[in-house]
Amino acid sequence: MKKLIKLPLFTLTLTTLLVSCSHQKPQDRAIATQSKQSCWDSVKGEYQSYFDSVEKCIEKESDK
Amino acid sequence: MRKFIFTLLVVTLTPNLSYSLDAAVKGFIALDAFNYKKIQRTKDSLDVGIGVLDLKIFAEQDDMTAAIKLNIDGNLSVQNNLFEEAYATYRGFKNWKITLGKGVVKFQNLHWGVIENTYQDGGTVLESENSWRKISNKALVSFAYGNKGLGFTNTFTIWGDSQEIQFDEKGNPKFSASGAGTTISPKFITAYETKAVPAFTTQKQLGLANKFEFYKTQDWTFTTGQAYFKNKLQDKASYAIDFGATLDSTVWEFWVDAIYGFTSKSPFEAYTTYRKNEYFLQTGLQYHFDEYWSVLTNLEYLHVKDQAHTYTNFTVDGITYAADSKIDRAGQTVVSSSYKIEVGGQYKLSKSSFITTGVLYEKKIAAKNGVKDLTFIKGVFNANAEAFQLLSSISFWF
Repeated sequence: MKKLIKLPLFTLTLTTLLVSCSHQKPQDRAIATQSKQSCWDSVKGEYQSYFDSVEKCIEKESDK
Repeated sequence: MRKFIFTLLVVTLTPNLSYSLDAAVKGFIALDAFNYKKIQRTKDSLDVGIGVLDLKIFAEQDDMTAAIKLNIDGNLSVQNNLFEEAYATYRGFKNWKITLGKGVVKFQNLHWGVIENTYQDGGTVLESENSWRKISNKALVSFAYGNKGLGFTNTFTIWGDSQEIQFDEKGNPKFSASGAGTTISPKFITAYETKAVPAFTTQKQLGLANKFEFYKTQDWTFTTGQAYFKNKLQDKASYAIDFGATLDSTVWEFWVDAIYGFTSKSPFEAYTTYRKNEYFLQTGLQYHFDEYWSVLTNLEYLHVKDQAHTYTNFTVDGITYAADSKIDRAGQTVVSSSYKIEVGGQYKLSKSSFITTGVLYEKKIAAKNGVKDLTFIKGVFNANAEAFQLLSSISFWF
């Protein structure tokens, strides 16, 4: 009985690990970093619009 | 084995959680290295210290974003005043953003000048008479549709003041007053009693605002906004309409904003008015010579016609009240025009810091009941005065 529980748990854990690792490809990461840079570069030191610009960049990163 | 499985689960799931939940602390600091001010009829002053200090914490996970902006330089003894913004935004529906919490109600095209903030956000040496300013510290729910890709964004906001007037069990407003309360020696009212509230009730107050931003023309953003507010005690609603535009290219930056606003408040509210009409115009530009050097200029004009309430003594539950002596009781009408001119230069020290040096000239012309050139008008700071300011500051953001 114990073995019956342990095996699915082990399989589930291993599957989660593999899916987690394969979730993000290296090229995706590169594109995300590139667009992240361009958005942050456009943020200017104008006091009234600074935090709005920051929020837009954070949302863009989240959407990737 | 159980321990092994638990450890394995923790090890495998922890990276997933830390990947999807992200938090960031962002800040904007301006340090005044040299701030010289001279107001007509007063002694000149030289200030060194912090000009602006804002910190905002962002946390985002999937379609949710939360933000808290700390009110570090505010009065922290007031309830809920530790943060001037605290809201959560949901972006789960395509092109929609729904925001709930406390924050800034958007309807203007706000822009910093050269060395001072805009009149709409308290940027003045002489103090300004306008009621329609940046609507901050408000409880709000907003619905935004659009983005840069669609070419426009429309943001509609329902809002209320985070300070609500208190009423007794009979429905009468409570006053902050001192004195005996007799006919001969009445209680003098300075203000209504207010309480900081985390959420507003539409039975007591209602604010509405809309801002439309249009991005279709290259480098240009055009905006138009409207705002409305009325609370239970006010006879008339207050409203404003705004038009703005911003050009943001690598060489030129240009900004313009125009507002017409009407304000009416109940007799003992802060900065009260019976009837106030105001007109505001701001225009400025920045020219970049190269990556490091730029020059800036900013012009602002404000015209305000302000008619005060007329006050008489009144009795409630056997207590006689009167308006405080600091308030003009005769219903004066003050017409004022303020303008300021700023010119300066900016040098970029690094990717996220610059040094700004500039000069400001400001003048206020005011007349009470048609009488000009008065040097004292009750409720008006620095009537018929001019001011100079020379400032050098370092701005840093992260």
